[in-house]
Amino acid sequence: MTSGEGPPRRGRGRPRTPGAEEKILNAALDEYGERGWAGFTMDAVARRAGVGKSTVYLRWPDKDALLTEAVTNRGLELTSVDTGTLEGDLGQLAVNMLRHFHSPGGWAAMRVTFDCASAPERLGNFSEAVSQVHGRQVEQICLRAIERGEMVEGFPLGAVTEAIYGAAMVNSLSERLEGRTDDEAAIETRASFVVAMVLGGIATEQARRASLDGVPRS
Amino acid sequence: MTSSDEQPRRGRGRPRSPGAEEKILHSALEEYTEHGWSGFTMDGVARRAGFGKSTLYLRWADKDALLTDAVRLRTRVILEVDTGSLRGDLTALATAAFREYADPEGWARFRMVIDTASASQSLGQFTRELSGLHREVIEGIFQRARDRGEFSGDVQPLSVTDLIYGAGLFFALGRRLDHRQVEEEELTSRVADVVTVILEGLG
Repeated sequence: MTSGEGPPRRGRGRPRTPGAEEKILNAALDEYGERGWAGFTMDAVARRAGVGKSTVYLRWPDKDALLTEAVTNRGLELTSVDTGTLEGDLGQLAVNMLRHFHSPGGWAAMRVTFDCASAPERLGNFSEAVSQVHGRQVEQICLRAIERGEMVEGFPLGAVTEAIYGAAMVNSLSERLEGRTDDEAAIETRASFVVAMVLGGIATEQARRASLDGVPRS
Repeated sequence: MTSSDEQPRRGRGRPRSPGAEEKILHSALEEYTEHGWSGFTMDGVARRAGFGKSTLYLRWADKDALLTDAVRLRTRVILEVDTGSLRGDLTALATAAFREYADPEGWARFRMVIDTASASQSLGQFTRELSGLHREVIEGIFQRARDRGEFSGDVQPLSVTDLIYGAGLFFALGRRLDHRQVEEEELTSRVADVVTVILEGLG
């Protein structure tokens, strides 16, 4: 910790300072949030994170790789919920997404996603990675719910994903435009409205099918 | 139209040639789509519409007022739905929202909004106007449904707009990321899914 000069060479590919990786990924999202793709440089990320440029390059060869990791890491962390019930999972997911999109990092991640979607061609791994993060988790949640018998097969899973992610995005966008700041309580209320609608939709479908099944056949 | 100096003073607040107002509002939206809020000027709108700047200023005090009217006009056209049933109204509204995002120009408009929201500059009146308008439309739809006896529950207009616009946005986003064209058939079936979630969810 004292003389930083001439430390023995360690394994490549990891920043040398503990916590540096986290700091760099956060800095990358903050930079992007402020400057967008065109103004994004590795230099500025290093400055913002308070590390040398070489530290950043040790781990990520270019801005594409750095942003991909920043966006997908966060995405996976947020969407891996498994509370044991459908209601719990969707509720947790909705709160996570709202909280995420309301934060500077989440806002940046959203801008990255929109930029990718607006680019005339695929931006290499980047678009791929981004589109993988979104949506797949809802499928997992719903599949578990189907296994537990909480949900019937055939309910439009795409609509569930769109409802939860989309509502969180639109909500954070309108909040920004109107200069509001939602507190934790407001986020939970908003999440519960959307989830209640989705769960109600699922329950109605469930009941409809059950009544169809209940008709004596023989 | 020739020597404007000599013209008698007419009623203020309206452009002098017929159809001018609509043309100006249309040009305002085009300007906004191309340049965003920060690059949007009364001058640019006047040039595009083929009017003198003074014609614009007769009617609108500043770019905020002009854009507010432009957005209001367009949104009214998009949102004026009254099909006679709750499902019909929600379907029409959701279809308009899905189409707006699926359309390249609509997407460009949306990008502008994102950029503006990121720039943390004051956007003025017109976004507040816009979200108020959406709320009114939803409230109108459900009020008519109550009057017809189709619906009796409570509804949070903002959750319904979040859900409809969110779904439209997320749908367009997915198609764009996959570089897939939006097919009309697919759009129709996604809209039906969303409306089902809302209607069954509200019970």
